[in-house]
Amino acid sequence: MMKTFATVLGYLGLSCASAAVAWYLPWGPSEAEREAVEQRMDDLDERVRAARVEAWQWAEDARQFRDADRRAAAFDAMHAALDAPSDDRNLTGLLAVAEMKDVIAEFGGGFDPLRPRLRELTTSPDIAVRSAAVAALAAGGPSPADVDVAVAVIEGMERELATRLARALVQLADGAVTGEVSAVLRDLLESSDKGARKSVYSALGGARVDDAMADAIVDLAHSWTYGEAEDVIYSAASRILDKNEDIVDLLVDRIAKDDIAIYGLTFGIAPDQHARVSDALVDIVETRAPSKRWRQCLEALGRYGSARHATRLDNVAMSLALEDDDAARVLAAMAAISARNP
Amino acid sequence: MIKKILVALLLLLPTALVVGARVGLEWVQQFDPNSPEVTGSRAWIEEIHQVRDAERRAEALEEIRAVLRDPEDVREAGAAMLAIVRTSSITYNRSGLRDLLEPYFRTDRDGLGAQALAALIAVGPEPDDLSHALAWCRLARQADPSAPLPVSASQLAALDDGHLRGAAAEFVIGELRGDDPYAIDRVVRGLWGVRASQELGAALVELLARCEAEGQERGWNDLAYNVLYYGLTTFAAKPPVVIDALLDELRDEHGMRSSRIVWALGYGVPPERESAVADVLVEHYDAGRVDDDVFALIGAYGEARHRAWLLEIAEHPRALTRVRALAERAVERYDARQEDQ
Repeated sequence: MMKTFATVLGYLGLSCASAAVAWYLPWGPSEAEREAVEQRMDDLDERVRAARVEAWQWAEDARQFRDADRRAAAFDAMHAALDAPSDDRNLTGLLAVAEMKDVIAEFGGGFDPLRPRLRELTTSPDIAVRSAAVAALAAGGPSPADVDVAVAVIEGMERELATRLARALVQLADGAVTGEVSAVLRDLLESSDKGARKSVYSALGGARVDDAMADAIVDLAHSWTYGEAEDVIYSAASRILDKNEDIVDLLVDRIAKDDIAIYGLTFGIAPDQHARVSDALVDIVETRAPSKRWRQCLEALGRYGSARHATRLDNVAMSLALEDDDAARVLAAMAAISARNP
Repeated sequence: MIKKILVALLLLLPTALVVGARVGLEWVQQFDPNSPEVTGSRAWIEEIHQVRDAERRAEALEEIRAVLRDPEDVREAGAAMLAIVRTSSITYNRSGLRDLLEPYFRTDRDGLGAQALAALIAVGPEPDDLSHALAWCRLARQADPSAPLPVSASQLAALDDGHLRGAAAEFVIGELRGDDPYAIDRVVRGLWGVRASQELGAALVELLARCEAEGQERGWNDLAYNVLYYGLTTFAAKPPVVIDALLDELRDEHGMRSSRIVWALGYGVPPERESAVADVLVEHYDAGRVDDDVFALIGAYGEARHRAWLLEIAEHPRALTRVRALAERAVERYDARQEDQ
């Protein structure tokens, strides 16, 4: 009797706790809202596809070098489209800017004279124009002065659409994902859409991230969503340029599951993590057969390793028979370590 | 009121959670990384991979042999085969493995025929394996015209040193001429990197035209992309018919698709088509398409007239500085080629 009573009581307690938690959890977007966003994305894509036909033609005219008039006409068409009182013309002009960036930089008077107009277009009421304007600004290369402009555009859009501008934002910030840029990107990572989050992870490849973003990356790598950890490790954690202790921990833990984690440990390691990473890399060299990753470990050991790692490499060189070129790689790594630690 | 209904519904949450977790777990378990074969083979793979202790490797191999000889259950034998496949790049004594694997492959013992074939390919196939694999494919096709084949096109090629020719090519061509774009897609995905015969190349080109004729019909549009992505562009040896098709495609292409074709033209081009490839690449660049890779290829395949074209760019004041440098390097490559000849 007591047992039944306790079971019922426990069940009710658990139910109430679950209900309370669920009550305060944010509700995701409804099916209708998701469909509306998807529809807007499809509409945007359709408009971009249509505008791109003409933009690409101008880009071809600009890139060819034999006919100076043809190139000049392409520049004129691009400028006219940017200044036209029409969203569709503006969109075509902006797509042409991104396609013609090299020629603009070298033969079109440079990118800077274009920036004021591009900034104006980031305030267009048309979302396609605003997005393309941010992408066009980023095509001109890093421009920290335009980061706020891009942030304003991103903050005025649904997350699922805004994640498409994540890479442009990182480019404008010259790869520095800190402060406001980090905050905006972390907010985009709250998107309920896995594909949208993946766009943000990809944008982080080659970036330098602050501790807050590193924490977010580590949290997401432990997410229960199927395949999320793989996305995080592959596109973000292994490719960022300044891996702190937490990111190193994450990658070391993943070595057995993902070869890409090994790749991630071979570059962008903070000096205070060199010893830890070298321990992990030398373990791989000792326990695996030569392969592309094995050779990458040796190269990284040459850069990060210390005398004790050289000693372990010496044992590897003397253990199982290695092919001549792999044995030479082991010796080269040892020599590099010795050169750095005379 | 709505809140009360929600709270009442949420009282059932624990039960729903248990059921959900159970269903979720079963769903996750269907994926390869956690399958018994993968987890079972992991220790063997690690022991074979490690380079410090030869005895540990020998012991792991002995265990694999024992399991194949007399498995306690099917999954154990599957794990042993997977370990052989996953260690295929390592040099070790594989003697005796073929004899143990063959019965599984020949009789599809315990339903492990496909895994045994993959392991046999890793151990080193023999000429007879191909005819057996083909016979197996034909039987499977007779039994069920729409079922996936037990052997992939890439495995058929692996049994013939990477070639897909003769009877194997004929069988694959038959599959490519089917009516179901999804079934054809499964075959096309197995064509990556094969050395294609002229007939197979022609069949794939014909399939591409068919996909384009079907237009936006469900399945055919994606198939058109995959024919190019997994098939025509990846052939390790590209027959002339494939080169011609790629050049035709390149004439109308922009962006990613054109980059993919230029990449594909970087290898497997027969010598008699090299000059034609250089011609189209020149045309492609002159039309204003961005593909920096074309310069290296023109340097590698071109003739004297292509060298003159490269020189013109290298010295032209209206060409981009980056492009002029690429053209200059391509001229050097051309000159080095001439010296080697």
